[in-house]
Amino acid sequence: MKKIILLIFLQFILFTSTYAELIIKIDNAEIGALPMMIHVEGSSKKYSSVMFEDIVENDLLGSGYFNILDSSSVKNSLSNLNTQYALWTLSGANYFLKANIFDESGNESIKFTLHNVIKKEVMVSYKINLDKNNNIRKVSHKISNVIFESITGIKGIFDTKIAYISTDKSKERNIYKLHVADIDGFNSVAIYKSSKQLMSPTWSPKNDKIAYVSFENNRPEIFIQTLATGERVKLINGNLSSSAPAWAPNEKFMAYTSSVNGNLEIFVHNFLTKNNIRVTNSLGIDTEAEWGLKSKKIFFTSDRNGNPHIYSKLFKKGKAKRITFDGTYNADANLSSDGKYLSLVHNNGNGHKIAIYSIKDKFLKVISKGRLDEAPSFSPNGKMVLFASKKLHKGILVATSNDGRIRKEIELTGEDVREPIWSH
Amino acid sequence: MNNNSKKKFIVTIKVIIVHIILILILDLNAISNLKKNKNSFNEINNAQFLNLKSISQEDIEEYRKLIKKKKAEEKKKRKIEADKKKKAEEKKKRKIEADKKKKRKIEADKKKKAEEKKKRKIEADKKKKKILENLKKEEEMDLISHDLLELEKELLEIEKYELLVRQQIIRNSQLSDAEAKYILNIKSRIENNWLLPHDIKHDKICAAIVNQLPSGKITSVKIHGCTGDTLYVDSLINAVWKSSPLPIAPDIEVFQENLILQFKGPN
Repeated sequence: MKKIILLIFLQFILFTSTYAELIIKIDNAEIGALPMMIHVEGSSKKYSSVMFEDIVENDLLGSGYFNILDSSSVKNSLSNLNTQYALWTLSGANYFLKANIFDESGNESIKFTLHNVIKKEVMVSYKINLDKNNNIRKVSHKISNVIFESITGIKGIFDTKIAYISTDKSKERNIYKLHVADIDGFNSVAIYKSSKQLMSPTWSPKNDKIAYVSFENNRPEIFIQTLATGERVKLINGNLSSSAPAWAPNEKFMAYTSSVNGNLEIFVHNFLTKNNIRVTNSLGIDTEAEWGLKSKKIFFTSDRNGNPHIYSKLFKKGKAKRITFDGTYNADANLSSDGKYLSLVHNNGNGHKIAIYSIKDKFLKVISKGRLDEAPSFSPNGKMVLFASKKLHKGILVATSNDGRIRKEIELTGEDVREPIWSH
Repeated sequence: MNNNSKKKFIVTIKVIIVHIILILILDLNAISNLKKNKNSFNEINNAQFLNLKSISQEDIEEYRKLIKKKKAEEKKKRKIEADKKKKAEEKKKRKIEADKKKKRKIEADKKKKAEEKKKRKIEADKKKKKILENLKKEEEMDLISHDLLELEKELLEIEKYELLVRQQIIRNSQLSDAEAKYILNIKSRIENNWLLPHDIKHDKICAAIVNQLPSGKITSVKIHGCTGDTLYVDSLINAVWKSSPLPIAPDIEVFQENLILQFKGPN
């Protein structure tokens, strides 16, 4: 009996110390961009490998998720894959994108392969016929998208578009232009030009139209322009002023701001019935409408309580509810595609900055450093924010990661740009 | 009757009784004498009778002679007979005595034997008892010694176990130290390699089951119970793979082929 007890005791002692498995808690991560290398080789006369490399690098770097390491000093055409992986690991890269432009019986193609250097495995490998898709930028953005999605699991936004307004100032008159461009500012096209002020462009849910405010009739009026045809339609007939258009996600409504007896209020235009419903009714200014995901709620800016703040309201009924309380100024809300965050212009006494407000956590985080930042809009995947800023008294566009860590100024054609809006 | 006559009668009776007693005493004496010479008296009577019959001197003489002779013969005979008798008696006596003696001897012997036997028995009993006692004692002693032995054995075993336990405790503490060190090494290695891009949504519980070789080379990584972002899950997997080979166990005994890594992302 004693022996048994002893044995049990012994076993207990023995077994308490030796687990079948070791359990280790890992709770400290480095927050940072993933180190990556890109190498494109095999330039042809038509297609420059350097260009591919630059575009993809620019895209991925701008996303804030990647840190692109210099690949020029790394040998990357070793036949022994294990050695190759070891070399890449040594160079510090977690991922390696290797692309090759080659001529295949007269058809020039680019083949790219994404390696997970750590796991020593190929993540994706594609071949794109360049002659059929002869826009090198488009192809590069597509590649960026594939890479981004493969690694992050988040939808890539590198082939999406932005719209913005530019002002060409001359001695005689200003030329206002509405542009549509790639997110890196390239392939910019002015879809509308006017000598009168243009404002507040906004994309239709399907990205086939853009609504904007034009002062061509000496008052703010909303126009809808179809991108494919260039066809322009005024939203509301008559001589009513309307501004700050916002397309409902279900495409049935357009929210806008109009004045009632000199006081700005939010209205909703029904595309089907052509009816205009007044949504807000306050003594303050109510403007800059933004739709909720289900096309039932409207976020808007109002100074009904003194300072401008973001409010929300079901557009058909109910009372407006104040959402932001931080700082003295919160305006121009833009909802992220998952409906969880608002990007907005925030002022806490030290200038207008871009902030992200978590609706669920009621937490506001400033992500920009300028003093005159405005017009924020989320990228379609919600991971980046595009906004307008000022640099040497001129308007510029900035794309930033949604934590503000990566800030990238977009090189644009056109001067003094403002009011950018990211497509859906 | 009057008092005088009464007194006379009593005296008369008394005299008579005394007379009777005297006569009896005399008589008894005579009888005893008579008894002594009974045979001779009878022979005399016979002789007188014969004498009476023959009535001659010679005859008487002759008869006397004859009687004498006869007497002598008879005496002789009697003597022989007496001797014989005596002898026989003596013999008998001797025999009896011898018998007696023999008997006595036998009895004595018997007695002696019995006694001896008894004695022996007693002694044997004693001995037996003693032996038994001894045996018992021995047995007891045996038992005691056996018990003692057992106890000692058990004590030894207990001591052995205690020693083992003590050794094990020491070893355990060494092992737990080694294990703690090992865990820390692995933890810091993986944490150094855990790179999370910003704004990652993650689970509170996310475990990776890692198989490794004693060299620390990771052979497989499996993620369990993770429903976080792909990027988050990948970051764990990458962190683990990037840490291969894992730090070598400071003591081979703390090496575990399977590691469970519990990842808890930043809040």
